[in-house]
Amino acid sequence: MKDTCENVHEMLSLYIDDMLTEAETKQVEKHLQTCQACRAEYVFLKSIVSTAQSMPKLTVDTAFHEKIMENVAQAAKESQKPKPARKNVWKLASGFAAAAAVVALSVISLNSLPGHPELTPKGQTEPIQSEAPQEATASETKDSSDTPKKGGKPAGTVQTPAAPTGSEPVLADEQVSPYVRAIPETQTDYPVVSYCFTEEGYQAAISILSGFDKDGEVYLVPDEQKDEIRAKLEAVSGYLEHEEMQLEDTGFLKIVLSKE
Amino acid sequence: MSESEYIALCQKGDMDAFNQLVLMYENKILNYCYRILGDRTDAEDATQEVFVKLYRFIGSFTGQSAFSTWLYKIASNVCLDLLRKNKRHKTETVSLHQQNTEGEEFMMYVEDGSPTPYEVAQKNEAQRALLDALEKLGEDQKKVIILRDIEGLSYEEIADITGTAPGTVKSRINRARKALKKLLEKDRELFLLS
Repeated sequence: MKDTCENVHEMLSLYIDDMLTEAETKQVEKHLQTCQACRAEYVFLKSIVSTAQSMPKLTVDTAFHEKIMENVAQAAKESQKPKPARKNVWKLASGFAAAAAVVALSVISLNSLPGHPELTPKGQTEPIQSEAPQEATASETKDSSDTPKKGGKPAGTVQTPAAPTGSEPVLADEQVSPYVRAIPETQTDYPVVSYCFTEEGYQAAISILSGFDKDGEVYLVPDEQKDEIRAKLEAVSGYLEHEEMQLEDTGFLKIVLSKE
Repeated sequence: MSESEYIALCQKGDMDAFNQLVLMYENKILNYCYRILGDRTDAEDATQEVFVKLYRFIGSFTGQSAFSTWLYKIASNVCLDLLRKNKRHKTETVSLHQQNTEGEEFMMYVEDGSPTPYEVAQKNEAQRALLDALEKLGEDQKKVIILRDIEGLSYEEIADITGTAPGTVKSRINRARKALKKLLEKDRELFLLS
């Protein structure tokens, strides 16, 4: 690049961040030595950057920190409650098999975590008992397809309430943590973006996504199209908000839609 | 104990380890949200939400990207949603149509009698001028200035957090700084003195 003032101006930002090549750096430094105008621009820009770097920072106080931990504890409690009933009753049947498999899977994966000696003796065939069996009992007919995911009884015990007996594994609070229950069963099931629309917007969103593969309720948009689809969805007149969890790249953007 | 060891413990359900992670990042996240949102209360709400989300999703963190960039991404999204919500619900008494440095139209809401966004007392005039100028930048440009110059993150980390190519980050920072320089031209002396 020619050593003109205009070119040097273009390089000042990268020069300040030490992001130029050695040759480019030398070029800029040489120019600044002799050109007063450019030196003035450099000093001004550097000063703006320094001002930003020394911006006063807020600090968190103990009360704020404690509030964070309280909210987290609250979220932990909420994740243990049985989920509300699914509206599609016929799905319960297929849900049982899936749920049982899921329980087995999560028990196995827990057992394979190092440093969990208290879990391994419970074996891989017995499910983790939820810490509030009374809750499971009361809502068994509604939640049977969901409680196993929370580490409760397998769906097969819908008919008979699962009262804790001596032979069942009962893990104390400290042994089975709330985090365990909050971990999604499989990574691929996890929606990345949840879009929320009005009724009208929801219909529009469905038609935008109509060409794409679906994994249950999750639309799979290939990476090449994700920006385009995002823009389209957000431009819909019934668009309200979205919640996005940018997880690791899987080649797809996973979208779920919901209504207000 | 290293950060990745804390993370591993968190994923197994260790609340003490989670507490440590929060301690390690709460200031950074609060300040980042504060710069993006411009309001301390909003920043505090956003920060609370970021860490609840962290708790809920930490099980799915695989370590392919750095933990800090992942956390900043969560914070960016929380802030973005909050900005959108605020735009919808804000009642303006006076609104001014403005064009920011990226040529985008934006509304500057002025409410009677409400405090200015930046409640933290600024050390000096230069900082105040810079924050005013920052507000006039487009969202993307403002974000990279915050991440690079205020938060001190690397170009690579910024590329990760914003989901853009490193080349884009370079040119965006360049353009943003040029825009700031232009906006602050009238205050040049403030900067040369400090």
